[in-house]
Amino acid sequence: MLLRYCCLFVCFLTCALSHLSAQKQLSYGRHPGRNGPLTEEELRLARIAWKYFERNYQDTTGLVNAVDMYPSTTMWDIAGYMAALVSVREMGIIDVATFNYRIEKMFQTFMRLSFFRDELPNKCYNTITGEKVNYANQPMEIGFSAIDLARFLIWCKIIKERYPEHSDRIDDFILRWKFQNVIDSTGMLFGASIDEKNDNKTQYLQEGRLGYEEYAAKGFQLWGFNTDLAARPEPYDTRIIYGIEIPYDARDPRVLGAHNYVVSESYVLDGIEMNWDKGTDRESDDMHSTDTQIAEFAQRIYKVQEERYKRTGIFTARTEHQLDSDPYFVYDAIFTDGYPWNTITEDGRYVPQFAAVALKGAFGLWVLWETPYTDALFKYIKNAYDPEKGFYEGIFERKGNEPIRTFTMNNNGIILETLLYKMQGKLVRFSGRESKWDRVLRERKEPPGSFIYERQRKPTQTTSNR
Amino acid sequence: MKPSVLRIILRYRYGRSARKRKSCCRATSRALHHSVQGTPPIATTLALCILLLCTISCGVAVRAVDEGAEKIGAAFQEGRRGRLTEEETMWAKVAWKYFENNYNPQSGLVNIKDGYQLVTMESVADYIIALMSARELDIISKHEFDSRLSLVFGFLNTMQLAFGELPNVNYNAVSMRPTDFANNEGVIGWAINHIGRLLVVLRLLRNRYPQYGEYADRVVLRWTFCNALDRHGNLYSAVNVNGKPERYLDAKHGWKEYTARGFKAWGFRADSSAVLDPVDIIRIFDVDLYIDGRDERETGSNNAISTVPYMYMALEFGWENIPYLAIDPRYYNQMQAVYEVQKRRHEREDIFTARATHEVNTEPYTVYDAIFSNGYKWTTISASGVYYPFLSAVSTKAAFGMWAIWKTEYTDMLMLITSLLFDPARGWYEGRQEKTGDVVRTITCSTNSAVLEALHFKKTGRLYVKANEENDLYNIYLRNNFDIIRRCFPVKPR
Repeated sequence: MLLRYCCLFVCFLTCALSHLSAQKQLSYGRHPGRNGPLTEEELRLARIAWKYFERNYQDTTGLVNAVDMYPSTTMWDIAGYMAALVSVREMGIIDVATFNYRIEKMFQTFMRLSFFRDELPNKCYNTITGEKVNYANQPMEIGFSAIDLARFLIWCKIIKERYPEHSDRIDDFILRWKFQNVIDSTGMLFGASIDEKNDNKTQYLQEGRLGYEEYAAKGFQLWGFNTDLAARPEPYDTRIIYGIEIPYDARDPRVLGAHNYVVSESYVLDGIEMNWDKGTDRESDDMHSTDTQIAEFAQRIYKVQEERYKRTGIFTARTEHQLDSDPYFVYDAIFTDGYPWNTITEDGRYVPQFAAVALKGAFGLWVLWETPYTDALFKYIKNAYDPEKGFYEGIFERKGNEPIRTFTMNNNGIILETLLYKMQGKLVRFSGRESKWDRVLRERKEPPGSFIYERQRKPTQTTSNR
Repeated sequence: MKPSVLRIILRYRYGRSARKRKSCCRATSRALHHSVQGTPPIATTLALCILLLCTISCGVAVRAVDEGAEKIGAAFQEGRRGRLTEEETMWAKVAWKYFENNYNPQSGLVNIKDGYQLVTMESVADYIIALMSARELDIISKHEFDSRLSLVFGFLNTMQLAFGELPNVNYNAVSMRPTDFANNEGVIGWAINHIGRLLVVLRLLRNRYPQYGEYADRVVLRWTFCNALDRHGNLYSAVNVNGKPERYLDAKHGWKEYTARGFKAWGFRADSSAVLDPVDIIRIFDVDLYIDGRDERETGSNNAISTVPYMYMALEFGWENIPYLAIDPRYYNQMQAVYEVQKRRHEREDIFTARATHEVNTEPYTVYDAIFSNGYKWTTISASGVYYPFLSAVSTKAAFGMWAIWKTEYTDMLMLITSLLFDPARGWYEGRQEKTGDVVRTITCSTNSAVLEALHFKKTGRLYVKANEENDLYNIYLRNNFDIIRRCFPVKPR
């Protein structure tokens, strides 16, 4: 009996110690927004968010479902899982061994991952079998998304710089990628899809609109690519909302089909992962952002949402989110397709009834801006969870306090990384160590056709927007 | 009034106003405070006066702060004035050709579009404007003017009204029967903008030619306004639902205030429609424009900003906010801004711009070619909101209006590409296509009337003239108010 207690005590002590040391380790000084170790309550919330990942873990592949109990995922969501893993490790919610096991398991799956037409990871994978699938989870290849891959690249970079023991594993996987069609010599990003009207040939279309495009560019920048055109916030225009000039992408959605939604998520992720720094910036301290334009835009994105709350009393943290019923997914934007506070479906239908406070957006605003508004916002959303399943996707604007009863990896992953940001500031940290990737490139031993750096300067095929 | 109350008002005002107003306000406040404590009443009055002045000026400052960066002031524009040159007389004659070609002798009406035998209240109003302008530019004789106008009065005073209340949207130009959108007989309802335009034009006509006033009055006195205007002054259009009018708020900024002015010109209380409210601001090339704050996805009718209502307002009423026809003073800023933003588009992007709703020969026939509409600037959409980027055009109508109202280098240049867009035998074309430079080969009553109106303006200045309206037929009816009170006229005490 005594022995048991002793054991428990020792266990507890080690836990507490590792917890403390984890919180102490990696302190980089002050950063914008909220600073300091997590409170009891915040830690409790982190554990709830982590519940999602435990519940949806698939041991066959080491992957996690992107939506609760639906065995499919995307590269964007996998990055969310990596964010969650790093966060809970740093918070001491899981131990190092578990972390290592999960990373290894996942990268084992990656090493045998079948790519879209042998170029790059497909848009979707089945989390049980590891096969490439379409959105309906049927085995099939459908294309790749430059933005999803970019977020994945950011998190690979974060993990490899923080934990050198996983560096080679990650580099081996990325060295399998062929970059020649995802990025061109001007530094513009392209997604791929299958053109059914044209003999099922692959078509490459420019991808990314203001906010996401710059965020994605940084993912490629971190790995040394030239992303000139994508990193530039051009072309943009502004719309005045509550006296604040909100920037939006000037490429016309009516002509090009891609919506120019302005949402919190892209700016929040850029803020917590990159500190609104340039992808090439490895020095500046956290109180200064070197990507000044994006940093300025992010301020306005926050300000206008606060202003809406002040003027209308509606809690606002807009970002695209999932729904538990048809149409399942909406762009719930600050501005898109001509209208402020617009909520539209993928095909552009106006569905104001699905406007919501998105939890990942709210957590992001809360951690990056320490203001009375975000205090109130945090109070409003902090109980929107199911203790077994994780955080709800959001709280509807027009239906009382009814939550969106959907649980997603992206939402819970971003919530965890925002909490990590509070502890540590900018999540991308550089060790200065030469990795396998750097060595391979220096010795020019990259796999044939991988289109890295110098090859990027070659003129590429003509491209169209749609 | 208690000084403390005044000070609260003052503080509230001054709290939001520009800094340099501070001292002025504070000083007055202090003066007031002193004066109340035992100074003679004259001093109090004086202080009150200063205070009042100060409050007003503070109020102005508040508005300036609220409205954003660069302010486009509503400067008085003299515009182009003087006798017509030979070329300009030729322009007017070409425009009149349209009214000769499209005249229907059976009814005395003029087609809305070249060869299309249909009229709306708007096109009838345009025709009356064309008649007045042609007369004053000496293109037609007194006799022709009289004989044509008589037939128009004849029609307006006998036409079948929709639901017995107000003119239908469409009438057949030959049979004079109410028709639907395909010009088949049938009642579809009324359009409040058209009625407002006719009310304006009848007022202009009545004041310019008082001898015909009586007949113009009778046109209006036939109508019933109960469903068109509520007691707050909101204006409604109506559609036919099973033989009954179903009314809906239709007019948006631009036309709404113009329409309200039409109603005010006939004594109606349309104040709430004469105010730019609800309003939103859109900034294009650092020019702030007011757009209607109501979401067209929920209200149906679009919020297109084009040159036309502002241009009519300037040509017809000038830049003076005539007291009994008063509208929101911000409307005058908007008039100037509408010009300014189009000029800046040419300066900064080298695209000639004079935007107006215009007609085309193919689907969708009528395009709203706007400075801003449905979320987008420089957009061109159909009535149902479909985007037609290739139908953008420099509108002849808007170009002539701008040329007459703003005597500037830009409007001179605009005329270089517009002044030859006519067929000498048929009249003026709708405009020139923005994307191709080709001509929009549609010919309409509205554009040809606007050309005449702009030239008329050059010769005589604004079309509205003041007149003593006290003892005209209309006001006698309003005072007798026997029957018309049931039809919601603004009756007057005897």
